[in-house]
Amino acid sequence: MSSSTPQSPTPTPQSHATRPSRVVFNRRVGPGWYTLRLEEATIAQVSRAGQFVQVKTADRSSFDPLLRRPFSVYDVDRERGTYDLLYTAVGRGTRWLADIPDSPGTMVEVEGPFGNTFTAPTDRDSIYLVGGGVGVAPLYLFARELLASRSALPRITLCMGARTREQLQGIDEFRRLSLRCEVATDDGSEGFHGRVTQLFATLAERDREPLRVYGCGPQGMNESLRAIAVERSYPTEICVESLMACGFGVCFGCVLPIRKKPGGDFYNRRTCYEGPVFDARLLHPGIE
Amino acid sequence: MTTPTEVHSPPTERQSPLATRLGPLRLRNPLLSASGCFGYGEEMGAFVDPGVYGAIVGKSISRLPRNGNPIPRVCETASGMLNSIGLQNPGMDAFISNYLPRMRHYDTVVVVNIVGDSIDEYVQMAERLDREPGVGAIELNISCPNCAVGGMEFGIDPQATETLVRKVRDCFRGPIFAKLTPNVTDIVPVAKAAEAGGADVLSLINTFVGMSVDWRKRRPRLGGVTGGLSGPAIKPLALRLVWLASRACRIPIVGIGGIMNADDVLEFLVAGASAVQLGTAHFVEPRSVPRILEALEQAVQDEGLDNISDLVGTLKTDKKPITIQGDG
Ligand SMILES: Cc1cc2nc3c(=O)[nH]c(=O)nc-3n(C[C@H](O)[C@H](O)[C@H](O)COP(=O)(O)OP(=O)(O)OC[C@H]3O[C@@H](n4cnc5c(N)ncnc54)[C@H](O)[C@@H]3O)c2cc1C
Ligand SMILES: Cc1cc2nc3c(=O)[nH]c(=O)nc-3n(C[C@H](O)[C@H](O)[C@H](O)COP(=O)(O)O)c2cc1C
Ligand code: FES
Repeated sequence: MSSSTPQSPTPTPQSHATRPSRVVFNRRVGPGWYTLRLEEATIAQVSRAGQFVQVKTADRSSFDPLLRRPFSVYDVDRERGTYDLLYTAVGRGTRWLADIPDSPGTMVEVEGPFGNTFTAPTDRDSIYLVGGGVGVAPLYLFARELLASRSALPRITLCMGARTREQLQGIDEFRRLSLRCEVATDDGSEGFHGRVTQLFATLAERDREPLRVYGCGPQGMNESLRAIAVERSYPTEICVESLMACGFGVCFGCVLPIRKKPGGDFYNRRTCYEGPVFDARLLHPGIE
Repeated sequence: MTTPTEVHSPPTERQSPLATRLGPLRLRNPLLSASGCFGYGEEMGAFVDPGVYGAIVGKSISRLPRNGNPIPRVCETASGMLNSIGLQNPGMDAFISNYLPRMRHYDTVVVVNIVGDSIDEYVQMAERLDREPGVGAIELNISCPNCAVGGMEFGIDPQATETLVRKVRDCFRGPIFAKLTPNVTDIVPVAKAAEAGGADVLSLINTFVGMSVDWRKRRPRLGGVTGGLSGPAIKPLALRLVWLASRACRIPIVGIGGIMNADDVLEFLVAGASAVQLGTAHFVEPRSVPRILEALEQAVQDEGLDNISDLVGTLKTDKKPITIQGDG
């Protein structure tokens, strides 16, 4: 059993943003997806990979749409006090975001950061980041954290999946980092022809080093990664997604059946508070 | 054992323009948290000091732990949301040993909301809470739309409501809030029944039962199929029920439903509520309460009032509507 369990940082008033965030840019970076850079010192300072923010996707005095939208922190610049989100415009809230001008100044109400973080690997580990869709966002910040914190360059392999090559979100940013990038597309338009989890399984099998795996993607991808991890006993952490109302632990709207320890009973645990990062062995099989 | 007066005297700033009387309780201000939207205070502590609230109401506690309803449990609707949480809670024993000790230290009145499957269960829980220091009041959830056998049955039947409240009254010495459901044809008989049974305060209202459908998948959007509607969408409906009940009952009313800002609070007070609870607002703006308190103080000053309670029940309705001829 791996020693690490993703930790929930205890939130304190000092660890949350109290001011709105200011838009630096809101750039379209691919078909339907965008990078939003925001300026707010606390979020930029304290956010760690895996954590997310809750964004109000309506004007200040409007309550429609009502609920905030959760987005993983994609990147931070702690010195400049900025942080980035990578998002796809899929519905009302994300389309509202996409309509923000791509110029500095707009104020956006953002609360956070919330949730727990990925836990660090050891220096010997061969690290795999397995992501699909916007799930690559927390993996990017994690890769940057690992590359910045290690004296010896860590061995990191990114496995990124998408339907087509056009939908490989953020791949260019990953390619600028010192890591191995492997891609899988459903239509074979780039890289491995098939699922990203199949690609990962093949690469991992050939690897002679102890593995550490971190995943984040759509539910289907998370589920196949969980199954591979459990079957082959790879120490794996998965960042899960769920519908949320509050995002900070009070409503119990975001629960999933999750164990407290490997082999233990399932409890309805809050993905926003005890998660969103969980050891793969704790997740319920077959939730897609 | 503490005497009721010790237990039920909240810290009150004398002369404060927001100081509020709620039946036997004296509150710092008229803003309470609504059950299920504030946890037991711990997580919210990252944003606000529970001590700024007039009182805090915890999530419903049942005698035994409950796992709650299947997922998905929340779904957004036009200016509102549906929830089907199903009263997931740690149960009375764990509440008393793990949560209540911390809540006692909050510098405000702690209201413990309880839910049961039978009168016996409510009575057992009330007896237990009567012995616990730090319980400022109990709120009887007889109105949850999300439980098959749960409280709703009581809340739709005036006779059952009166019996339940009276039995609890016999074993609990502190203030009792009866939280009613809006899912009835006429709320007045149920409100009067709760008053007759000995309730000190009426909490109006719990969520409206509703549903949402994903037509492409031919599936309901909630795991529990139906759920409770909350948020700004229900405010006009809640206001009407508060107004109706306040005219029919003598005991004070806590207005609940879609309150997001100071104007919403004042609308409820004018309609007849003595205080209000905020629920869904916490999800959207976790610091709503301190922000609203500032605006309320300003409003009281602007209106030239001594105290905010001067507004309670000041709604003017035309006694003589103008009648016109015609078929329109
Ligand atoms: C922890 C976490 C991190 C996330 N990180 C990112 C990210 O980095 N980039 C990104 O593009 N998306 C991310 N998502 C998904 C993102 O929250 C949804 O795409 C977004 O809420 C959709 O809102 P909408 O109004 O455009 O869609 P609508 O379908 O109109 O939304 C309706 C409701 O459903 C909720 N909802 C819809 N899709 C999702 C979903 N996939 N997950 C959770 N709630 C959903 C919305 O929040 C809203 O309450 C994340 C979700 C979670 C839970
Ligand atoms: C997620 C959620 C959970 C709730 N849980 C409870 C509960 O456990 N007990 C209860 O009496 N009311 C519960 N309620 C109802 C609220 O206390 C309140 O009556 C209702 O939401 C209307 O107020 P609002 O529009 O301000 O949210 C819950 C509401 C929500 C949204
Ligand atoms: S979203 Fe409210 S508890 Fe997780």
